[in-house]
Amino acid sequence: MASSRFDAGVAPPTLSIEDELSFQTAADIRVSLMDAFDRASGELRIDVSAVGSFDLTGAQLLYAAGRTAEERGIELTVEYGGNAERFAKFYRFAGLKPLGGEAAD
Amino acid sequence: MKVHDDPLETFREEARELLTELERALMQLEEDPADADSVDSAFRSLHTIKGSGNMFDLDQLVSFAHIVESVFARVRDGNTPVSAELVELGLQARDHIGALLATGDAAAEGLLEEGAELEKRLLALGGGEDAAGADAGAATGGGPAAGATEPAEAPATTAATATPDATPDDPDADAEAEERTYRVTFVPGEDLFRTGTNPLLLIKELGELGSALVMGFTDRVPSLDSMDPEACYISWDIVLTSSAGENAIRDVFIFVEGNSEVSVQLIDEGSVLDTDISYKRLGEILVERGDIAAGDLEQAMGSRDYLGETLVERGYITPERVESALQEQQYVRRIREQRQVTETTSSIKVSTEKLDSLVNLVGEFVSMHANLTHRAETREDREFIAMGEQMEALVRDLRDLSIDMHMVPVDILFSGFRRLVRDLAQDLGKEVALQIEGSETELDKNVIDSLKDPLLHIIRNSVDHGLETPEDRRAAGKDPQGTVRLAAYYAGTNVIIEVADDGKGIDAEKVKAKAAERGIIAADAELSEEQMLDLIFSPGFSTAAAATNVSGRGVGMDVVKQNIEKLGGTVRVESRPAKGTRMSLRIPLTLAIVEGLLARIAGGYYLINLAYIVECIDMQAMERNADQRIIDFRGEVLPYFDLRRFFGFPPASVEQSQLVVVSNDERKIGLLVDSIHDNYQTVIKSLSKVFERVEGISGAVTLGDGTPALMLDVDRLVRVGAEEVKE
Repeated sequence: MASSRFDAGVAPPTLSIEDELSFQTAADIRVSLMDAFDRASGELRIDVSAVGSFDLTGAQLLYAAGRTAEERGIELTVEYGGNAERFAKFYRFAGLKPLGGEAAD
Repeated sequence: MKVHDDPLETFREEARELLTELERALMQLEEDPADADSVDSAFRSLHTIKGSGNMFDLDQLVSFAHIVESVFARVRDGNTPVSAELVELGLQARDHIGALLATGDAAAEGLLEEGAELEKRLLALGGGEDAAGADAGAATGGGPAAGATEPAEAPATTAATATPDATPDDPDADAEAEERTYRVTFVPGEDLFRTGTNPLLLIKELGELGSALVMGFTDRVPSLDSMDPEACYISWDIVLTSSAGENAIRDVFIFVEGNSEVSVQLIDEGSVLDTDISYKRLGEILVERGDIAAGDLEQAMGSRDYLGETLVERGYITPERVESALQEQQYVRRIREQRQVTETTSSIKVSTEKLDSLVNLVGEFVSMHANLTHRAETREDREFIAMGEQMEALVRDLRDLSIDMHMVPVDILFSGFRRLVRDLAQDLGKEVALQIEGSETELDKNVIDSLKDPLLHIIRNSVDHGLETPEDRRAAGKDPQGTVRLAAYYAGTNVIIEVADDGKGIDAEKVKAKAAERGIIAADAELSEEQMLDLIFSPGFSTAAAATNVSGRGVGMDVVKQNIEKLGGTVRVESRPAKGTRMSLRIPLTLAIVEGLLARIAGGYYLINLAYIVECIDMQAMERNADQRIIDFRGEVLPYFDLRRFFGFPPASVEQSQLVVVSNDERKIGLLVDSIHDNYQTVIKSLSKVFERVEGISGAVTLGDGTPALMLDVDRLVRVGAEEVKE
C-alpha cells in the first residue's frame, strides 16, 4: 500500500514514505515524489525510515529522485533512520551505491 | 590422480572421479532422500563434467550431462522430489556418461539409442529445464508485480555467495576444476519486472557458481519526469570467479535472453602458467566493457592527468563506471596474487608412477643404508658407524614421508561397493543394507588397487550366498533386510578389512563334505571347524549348488586368497550358522618397505616382520616341556614351533636356540630360530616361481651385503604351528 506524506513546514521540506516502496506502489510514489520536487525549493528530504518493504523498483525511484534533484539544482537528502542497516544490506547485495550516503555501510 | 600430457585424457580421468562422486551422492540419496548436500554434490559433479566436456567439443556428452544436471537443478530447487526412480535413472545416466566418456563423440549407435531412451525418461522428470529458470520462476511466481524482494531478506540469503565485497578466497565447491574469472554484463530489458523476473535472483544464482564481485549501474535511470516506474533501468557487471564454465554462466540467464543483453567475457584464465599479477589498465577495461570509445580514451590519455577523473570531467563516462572498472582491476589482481601464493604453497599433482618410483628408490636407499651400516660394523669403523647412525634418522624420515605420500583413504575403494551391493540386491531380489565403517583408514594406493577384485568377490559372495531372501529371513525371525558390513581399521602396521554379513552362515560340515567329494581332503579327515571353513579357500571349491550369474564367474575364494597373500596379507573366515559370516583381510599398510628382525636358520637368513614380534627369548633360560613343545612364558603356556624342523633342516640344540615370540592378534606362538641379528629395513622383492608355493615364506629380500633372505609368512606359521602343537 502506497503511503506518503509531504511536510513543507519542516526544514528541509520532507516527503515521508511509509509501508511499501516497491513495484506495487512505484507509480503512486513517483507521483508523490514529483509533487514534492515541485513544492520544494532548494532542499528536499526523502524519509524512508518508516518503509516496511522495499525492492529494486523502489531503489530505482530513489535514484530517479537523485537525477531529478541534480537537474533541478535541489539539494536532496535521504533519511534512512532505523532502516539504514536493511537498506545498506540491500544495496550491498545489488552492488549499488546507497543514495544519500546515510545507509549503514 | 595421473597427470597426462593429453588434456583430453586428463579431463577423462577427472570426469571419472566426478562420476564416482556422483554415484556416491546418488547412493546416499537412496538412503536419505532429504540429504541436500548429496543433491548439491550430484549437481556439481554433472555441472563440472558438462562444463569441462564443452571445452573438448564432446557435444553428445555435454548435451546429455546438461539434461541430467537440469533434473538435479530441479531437485535442488524443490521442484522435483528425490525418488527411487530418480536415483535409478541417475545411476543409469551416470553409467551412460561413463560410456560416452570412453567413446567420445564416436559413440556406437547402440549407445546413442540407449542415451536417447534415457533422455526421454529424464525429460519426463523435468530434465532440460534450466536451473536458473526454476529459481526465478519460483521466486517470481507472484505475478507481474514481481521483481520485489524484501530488502532484509534478499541480502541475508545471498550475502555468503554473491556480495560486492566478496573476495576470491571464497572457496568454490568445484575447486578441483580450474577456476576462471569472467566479466558478466547483464543489461535487463526495460520490461523485465513486468515479466515477473527478479534480476537479483539471477545475480544470486550466478553468485552460487563461485565468488562474485557485483557492480550495479544506475546511469540508465532517468529523472522522475521521464521514467516509467515499472521499467528496469539498473544494469550490472558481475566479475565471477568460477570453475563452472561459460555455458553454466549463460544458463543462468537462459530465460531472460530474449529481453536482456547478456555477455560473458573471460578476463582471467586462471592458468598455472600465468604468473603475471598485473591486470589490464583502467582504460583497457573501460574500452573492453564498451563504457567508452577507444577514440575518447586516446584523447583523454593525452591530458596526462588522472585518467578516470579526466574521463568523467569530459563527460565520457560516469564516476560509477570508472569506480567499477577500478574494482574489477583490484579484484583480478587479488585473484592472481592469491593464485600465486596458493600455487606455490599448497599442493601439486604428481603421477602415481612417479610416486612409485620414489618409493622404490627410497626402498633401495634404505637397503643401501643397511648395507653401509653392516659393513661399517663389520670393519669396526667408528667414523662410518657414527655416520650411519646419523643417516638413520634421515633415512627413517625419508621412508615415512615417501610411504605417507602413497597412502590414500580406503573410502575410494569402499564407496564403489555401494552401487555393487545395491545392484546385486536388486538382481537377486534381496534387501541389503551396506554399512561402511572406517573409510578414512589409509592404505598404500597400490594395495588398494590390488584389493578391489578380492573384495568385490567376497562382497558378491556375501550378498549372493550369505544373505537369505527377505522371505527366508522373515521365516527365520530376522529382519527382512540383510546387512553387509564393510569395515577397515588399523592393527599395528597392518589394516584389517572385514566383510561381515548377518546371513545364514557357512555350514562347516557341508564344506567338509563338499571338499571330500571333490577330493580336496580324505573322506575320513579329522578337521577342526576352522580347518573345515578354511577349505573354502581350496582351489576349485564352491558351495553353490548352482553357479549364479553373480558369484559363479569361475573365480574361487582360492584366487581371492592368493591375491591377498601376494599383497603380504592374510584372509580368514569365521562363520556361525544362522548368524552370519565374517571375512577378515589383514593387509600390510605398505608394500614397499618392511622393517623386520633378521634371524638365521640352518645357515640361511630369514626376515620376520617386526609388526608380529612380541619379544625375543634365549631358550637356555626357559623352562620348557620338550615333548609338548611348550614353554612357561611369564606364567603363560606358550607353544613353540621349530622352524628347522618345519623347513626340513636337521635338528639343532634347542638350548642354543633363540625364541621369537610372535602374535597375529589372535594367537601367540614362539618361533624357534638358531640366532637373531639386528632389526633390518628392506625392500621386498616378489618371489620366484620356485618359492611361490613354499609354505611359510611370503617374499624375498636382498640384504645389505647382497645376501638373499626369505621373508617369513608369520601369520601362516602361527596357524600351522598352533595346529601342530595341538596334535
